[in-house]
Amino acid sequence: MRTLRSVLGSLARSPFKSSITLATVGLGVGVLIFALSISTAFNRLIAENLERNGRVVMVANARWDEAGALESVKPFQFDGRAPDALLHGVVGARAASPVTATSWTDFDTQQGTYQIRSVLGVGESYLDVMGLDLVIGSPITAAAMAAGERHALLSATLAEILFGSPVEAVGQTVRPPMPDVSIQGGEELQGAVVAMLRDLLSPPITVGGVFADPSELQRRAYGIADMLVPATATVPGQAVDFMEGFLMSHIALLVDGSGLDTIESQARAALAQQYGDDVAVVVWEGQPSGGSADLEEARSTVRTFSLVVNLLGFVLLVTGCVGILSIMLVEVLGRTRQIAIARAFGATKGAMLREFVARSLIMVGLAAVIGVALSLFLSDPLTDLVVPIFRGVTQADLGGSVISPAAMLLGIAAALGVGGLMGVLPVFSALATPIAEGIRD
Amino acid sequence: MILREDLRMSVRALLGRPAESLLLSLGVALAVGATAAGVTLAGTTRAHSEALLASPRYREIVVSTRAETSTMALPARMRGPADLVLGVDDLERARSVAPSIQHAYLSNPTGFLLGEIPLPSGLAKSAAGAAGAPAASARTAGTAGSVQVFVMPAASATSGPADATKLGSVSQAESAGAAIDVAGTALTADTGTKELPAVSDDGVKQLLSAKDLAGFSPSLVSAPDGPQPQLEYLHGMEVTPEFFAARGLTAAAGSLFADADVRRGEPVLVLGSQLGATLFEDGSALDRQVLSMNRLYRIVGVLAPTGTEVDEHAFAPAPQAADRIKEFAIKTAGTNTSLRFTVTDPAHLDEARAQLAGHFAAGYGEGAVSIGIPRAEAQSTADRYRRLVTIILFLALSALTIAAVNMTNIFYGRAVRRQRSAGILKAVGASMPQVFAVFFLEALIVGAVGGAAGLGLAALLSRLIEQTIGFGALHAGLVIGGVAAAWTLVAACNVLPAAAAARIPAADAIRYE
Repeated sequence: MRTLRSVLGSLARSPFKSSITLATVGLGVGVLIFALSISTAFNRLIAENLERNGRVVMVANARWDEAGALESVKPFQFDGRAPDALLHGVVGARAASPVTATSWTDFDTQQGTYQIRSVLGVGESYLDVMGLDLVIGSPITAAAMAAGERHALLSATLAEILFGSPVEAVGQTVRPPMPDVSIQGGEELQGAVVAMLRDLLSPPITVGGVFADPSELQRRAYGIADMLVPATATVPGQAVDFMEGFLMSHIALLVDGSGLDTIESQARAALAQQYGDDVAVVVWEGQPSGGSADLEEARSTVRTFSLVVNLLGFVLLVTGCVGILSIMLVEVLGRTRQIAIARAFGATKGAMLREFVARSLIMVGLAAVIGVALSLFLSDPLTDLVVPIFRGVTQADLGGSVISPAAMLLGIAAALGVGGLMGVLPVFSALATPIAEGIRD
Repeated sequence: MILREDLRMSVRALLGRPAESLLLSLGVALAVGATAAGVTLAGTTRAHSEALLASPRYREIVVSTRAETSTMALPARMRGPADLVLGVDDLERARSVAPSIQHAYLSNPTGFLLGEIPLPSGLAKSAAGAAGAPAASARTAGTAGSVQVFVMPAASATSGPADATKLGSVSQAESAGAAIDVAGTALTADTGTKELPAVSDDGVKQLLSAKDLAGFSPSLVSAPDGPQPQLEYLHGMEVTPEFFAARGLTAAAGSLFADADVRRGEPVLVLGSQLGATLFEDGSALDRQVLSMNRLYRIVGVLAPTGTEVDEHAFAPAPQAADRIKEFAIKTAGTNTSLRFTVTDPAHLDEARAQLAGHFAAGYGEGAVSIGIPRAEAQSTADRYRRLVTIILFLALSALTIAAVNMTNIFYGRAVRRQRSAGILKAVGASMPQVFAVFFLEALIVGAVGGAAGLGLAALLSRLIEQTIGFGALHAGLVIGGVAAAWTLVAACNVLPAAAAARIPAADAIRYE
């Protein structure tokens, strides 16, 4: 308490310099706390959205061409056994589902024709692979997959747009538009052709269920579609068998606990065992089309942003703590004679050192309190400023205040460490001065 | 000599308290490094954003019957009539409603599969059996005696061959499209292994009479003699001539095609510079012909280099919707789905969009077309960069300010501590400027050492930033500018302590103790 009073007295002697120094150290502590907190929050967001149940990879019967685009292999080498081969051959594989592009973009409903953002043909395990929850209705089953059943799952938002709510969507039908036939010869005959071909070429699809919307980050990263149908329903029923290679050429795989390189080598080995050594296999994380820019961007931005901001926060802290050094220099200079006299009366160097360590720690502690207050006060506006840097992330995704107790403790500890060290350095030169010389000063 | 003595004294003073000097230099290094990186980033970001937004494509408004799915904020949008096809007439009509529109053109991605196309076996069998001649290409099948309707998925025309490799897409014959022989002949698919359903209907046969199909030529076109192209597939675009003016593209050899070529559906190609130089082995492409999808295209021009993907693309006249209907008998939904307009000034984009929206709503109904501004996405990217730069620059300048203030404090402390030395110097004849120089040089040395070390930090930060946003690498001029500015600030903050030390009267300084 005596030391605290003494420190406050010292600070009060030059209030402007003291307040500037405490404010700068406090700013450094505050920024460091915010930087640690926001980077922790973003990393948590990435983990929750993209790595919640494990690592999701795409395995395709394809090659990368020179431009880095996916190049399909013809004839296709995979078949219906590929998902099982991956589940058995890749350690930690928990679910696998074929993923097939469709050319469907427009759908007729009772309300009109809608352009739907994306539709994918998938297998019965797709929801498990992507960690999507079924809100209502029934999932795509193995039987539906085998039969090529026209059974769709809609995202909750899509269900609301098309039918008002997920509950009302189940049981409704949508229909890919009939290819627009334009034949000269009269409307009546054209109508007859269209009616004749319509059910053959464009049978209706029944909404069987609704799944909860994935986060925007997850949707973009993995190309999750707004409408899912059994992969086998995306081609004419009679064509399923001979198009099996195409339907199975892309497989989404959920793997727990392995890195991408390990998964790739195990997937290659498993598929080579199934289809021979010349099977073409590529493995990547990202969208079924081969694009991984969104996923890489999300991870890279969070990683680098965290590093840069934490580094700058630390820079700010260190430069701020040079102020502690400055204050303690003056303090030691003014007390050189007092130190020498105390030592002449028997005070040990250790005792003197402890006193000055305590003084500098008290000063840094005061600055840290300012820093914590600053971080809490500026958290929301700073988060507003930072969040738009990350595509697909909103402030709501981060929850309430991002400032975490762990970041506070870490920020305070860093300040005490750096500031304490800076504060005690001037004392060493005073203690090194001979007592007689110190008394003469 | 005098300066050298001053310098020696300053160095000695610094080395006398190594830990303190080191910490001072460290503080300056961190602040200068962060500032240099921040200044570099601000400069490169601004240049990058300006270059990005200066691209002609970011002065475009895209009017389309379909929204660009990658930019759709919601999973679905109500769309207009499925048979709405936008064409050259729409371009001209729309151009007149918005005065700020500078160019109006069609531009749709496409691809050119070069060489002769092997026909699906069923088509070949059917066509040959009916007409005694080889069938036309897979997309132009049909004879008077045996009529085939080849139906493609509704969206296939919009994705085009350029998307053929995405998500394992298969060719149109393999995909969800089906080939139906309306004359009742079983038609086999491309693989030749499975039979697709046959549809037979007398009415349909009547519909597709010989008269309707007059003009179809079932004969196969052979590849021209002479040098053959070295590529099997060309990425490209179908455009109207104004596309070239809008993008600032000019012909380095030959000429660009004209409106008349578009109207007549001339099979001509203009190649990007790189493609023009590499398509044929001898590097000469002008006036040569290439065969794609049973059409012989004559290469009429090669563009001047642009340094962009345009250099590797081929450009053909955008087909008119009417041409396609006549040619295919079946109009694929999606033909000419989008129109593009560029404005004279990006500031007019919103105004022009509103005018176009009103025009198309009046003509085709509310919501019939989607009107997008690609610049919005680029602007959003630029804004993200700007925010990142703002944060980094704010932190870096804060560090620099704090470091400067602290250095001033510390050098004041040092000046006070060394009053006696200053007094002695003046007592033995040193002038005020010479004393000032000793103290000021000390600050400059700290600034120089810190600044040099700061370069390392600047390099590290710049590399990290470049990894995130793809640019921001160290730029010599900007780094030197950043370091110089930071060093100047640090030095300026030490003028007062040095001046205070120099002003001390010798007698007072010596009397101090």
